[in-house]
Amino acid sequence: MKEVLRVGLILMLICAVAAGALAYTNQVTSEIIEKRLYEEKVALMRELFPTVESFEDKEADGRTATIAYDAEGNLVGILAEGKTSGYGGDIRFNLGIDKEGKLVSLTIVSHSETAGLGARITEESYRKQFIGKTISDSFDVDNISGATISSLAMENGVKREMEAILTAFGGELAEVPPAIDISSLPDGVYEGEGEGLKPGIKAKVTVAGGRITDIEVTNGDDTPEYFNKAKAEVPRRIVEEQSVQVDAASGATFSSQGIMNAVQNALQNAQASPGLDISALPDGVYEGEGEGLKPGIKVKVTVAGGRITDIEVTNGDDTPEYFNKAKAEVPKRIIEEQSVQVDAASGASFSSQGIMQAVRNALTR
Amino acid sequence: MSIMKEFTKGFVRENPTFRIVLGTCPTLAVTTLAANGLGMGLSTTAVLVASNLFISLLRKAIPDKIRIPAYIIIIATFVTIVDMVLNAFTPDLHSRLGIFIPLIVVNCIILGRAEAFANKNGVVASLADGLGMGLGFTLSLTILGSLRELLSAGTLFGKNVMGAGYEPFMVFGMPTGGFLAYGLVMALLNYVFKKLKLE
Repeated sequence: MKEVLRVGLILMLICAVAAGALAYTNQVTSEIIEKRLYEEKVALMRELFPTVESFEDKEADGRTATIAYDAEGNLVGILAEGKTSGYGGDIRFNLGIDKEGKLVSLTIVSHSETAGLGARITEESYRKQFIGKTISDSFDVDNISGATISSLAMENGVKREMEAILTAFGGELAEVPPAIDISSLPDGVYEGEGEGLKPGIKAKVTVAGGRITDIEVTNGDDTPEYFNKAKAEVPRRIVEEQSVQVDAASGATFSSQGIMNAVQNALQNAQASPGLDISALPDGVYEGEGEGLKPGIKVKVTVAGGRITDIEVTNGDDTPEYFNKAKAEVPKRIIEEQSVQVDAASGASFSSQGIMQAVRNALTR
Repeated sequence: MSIMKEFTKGFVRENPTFRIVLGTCPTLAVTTLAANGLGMGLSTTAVLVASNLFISLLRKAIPDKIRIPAYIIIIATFVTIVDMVLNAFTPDLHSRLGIFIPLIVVNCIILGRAEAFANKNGVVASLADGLGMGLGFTLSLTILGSLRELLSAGTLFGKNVMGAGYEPFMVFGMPTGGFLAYGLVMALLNYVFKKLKLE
């Protein structure tokens, strides 16, 4: 019993001394380490985002990012960590994204890829291929031969994480577009395109009596989970507020911004092309010209009783394969909708636009 | 035995890696590159010298029954202190060795020297033993690392030495190659020792 107590006490003594030594070392070193880490971060932020004046750590969607601001407090860049599953385990990397949404730095934090093969993702010659890309660019870079899995993991991972980081922190990156005087716009249905996380968001905006009365989002390739949130909220808010710049749907900043851009674009189109009051046109046959892929699309438009009753496409030099599609669809739609701005025949956008242009040309002569 | 002999025995005659065959796990794990081998070897040497010193100092105070836990506490404390000090004062070195430092705690060479030497010998002899064994370990790891780096990537300490046309032996960069290189070097040494009638 006495022996147990004795060795127990000695062991305790050793532990106490060890703990004391560790506590002291930690006290001395932790301050130095923290100061150094902070200085390193300042230097890194300066290098990545030259106009940075201040930065702060933020948390969103379970991620932490360092957001850099310039002297006026505008966001100039985001530095955040992402990860992807490589060949040997998780690959963790830091992404620096500037205010234009371009990747300015990619550094590998840790990985367990095979030395000499997958581990070459850490080499600058590989990493620099990603620099300057935005999320709408292709991330298909030159692979490391013999390390397809690691290479693909990087391509997909960097793009995916970049999207997620921008979704979480990129809200302030969006630029405010010039204001449009909605009340001066002619009545009509206008189409516009915008870019969310991915390009190709399309919206049809109905303007009546100097007000936006309806917005239909017709296409969008963003992740449906987020896009549908934006689609449910943003058009409603725009109609309510009669402004193209409204609050984004929470958790769907980019898609929201994309829809706003599409509406903005549609209204700009509306400004560019003054409305056409078909009902005021005298009866008659009007001829007009338009340009599809090639110039020289000619149409004859018959107006009777303030309505377009017939459209005959008399010439067109676009590739027949596409042109015939447009010819079959577009005139029919124009007559149905009594509008010169209708949906293009799918797969024949250029020819369709050409025919619409020709009809408009005919009616405005 | 003279102090000099205690110091030099770790290089060849009692080389921990190739003769005693201790610490094989970190040996196989980190010798993919020459620089990694060197870094791991030097960090281990630092901890080995410090732990040998303290265990030799405390060898009369530590009862036999609890010597193993006591040694482990001492070694782990040193590893942690080395980690913190390197991080604070030599950040560059720390960022390169960072991953190896925790591995030193489980390196059986350190516990092995404490058990086989430091708890039976005086402070000066224990220091010489720790330094010699540590440098012997460093030498072995650097040789293995150089061999594997040269074969698997054609480089040495990151510098290309084999020319652009070199077709690398990828396998030597992988764990399999670790065993192969280790076995080949050990076989060569055994052969040399037999020829020289050193055993």
